[in-house]
Amino acid sequence: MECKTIQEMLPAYHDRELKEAVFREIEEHLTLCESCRKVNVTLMETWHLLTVWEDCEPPQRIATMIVSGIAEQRKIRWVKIVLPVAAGLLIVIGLTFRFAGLQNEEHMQMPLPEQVHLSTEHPDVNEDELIADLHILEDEEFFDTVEELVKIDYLPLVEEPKQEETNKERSSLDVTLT
Amino acid sequence: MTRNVLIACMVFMVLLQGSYALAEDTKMRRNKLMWESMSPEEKNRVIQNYREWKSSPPQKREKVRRNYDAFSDLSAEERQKLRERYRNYKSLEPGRREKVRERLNRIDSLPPESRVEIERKYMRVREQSAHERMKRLQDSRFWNNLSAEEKEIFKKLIIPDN
Repeated sequence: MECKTIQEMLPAYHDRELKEAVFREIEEHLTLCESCRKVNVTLMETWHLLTVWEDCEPPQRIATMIVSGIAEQRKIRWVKIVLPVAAGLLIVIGLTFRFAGLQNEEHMQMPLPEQVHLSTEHPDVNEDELIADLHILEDEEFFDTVEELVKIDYLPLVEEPKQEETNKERSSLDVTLT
Repeated sequence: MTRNVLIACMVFMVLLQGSYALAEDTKMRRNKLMWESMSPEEKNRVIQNYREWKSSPPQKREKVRRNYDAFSDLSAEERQKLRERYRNYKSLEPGRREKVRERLNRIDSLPPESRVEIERKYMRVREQSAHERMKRLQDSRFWNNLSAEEKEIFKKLIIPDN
């Protein structure tokens, strides 16, 4: 067997996991090969160190810090995933409701029979619809005229003297004054 | 960085949607309370308005909704002024109201670019003091070309305090 193979098999050799023939062959090789013997010695020293290793308990404070640090990291990871997903979902839900609301507004004039809440005294009145537009209906005539009422303020602006005319008037005034 | 901006935008959009829904909800609750507190006479008047509203063409309803939104955007002072103007307009005799409408029709017949220009001017005039506005009105050809009767009408509508 080559040295490389022998060195790879050294841990199994020490654990007595090899067949007798192989074990003997490695044993014989180690008596002859200097480099493999060195590797074997290093391995044995390492094994020895591991056997004398003593487990020591970390101080409670450090253990708590490590555990809480891990928990915090997990939490942050969750927040980073959950927050955008929740925001996305809320936007989708919001847009769906908004779109549904717009469609409802568009079809306000033909509500579905099962949604109609008719007044008992006035069977032709859909009370829900009336309440939804009450802010307009209570003074519908006024809101109908608002545009015209605002336009009254435009009238002087439509027939304002042009800038050059004003200047001309001013200069003629200056001449009169002088 | 980009992700934070994206998250901020998403949160803003969610809040915007939320505030819209909240505003709608508030309006509905306010309307419901208002309806419940109305006297039977007022309710009958509103029902009458509702019937007329339902039978009116969609364009008219759209215009009224637009007007309501425009009115809501005005300051309290401007709203009060407009209400007062409405009362004065309503108190005019039909013939005099027709004269006002005739004048206003001239604005409607203007080319779109002129209307935009006038609206732009109006936004500036709104910022002026009452005195400056009065001066501007009295300097205008519109005012100087009015007959005595028309002056009386428009004085009531434009400068009701004087």
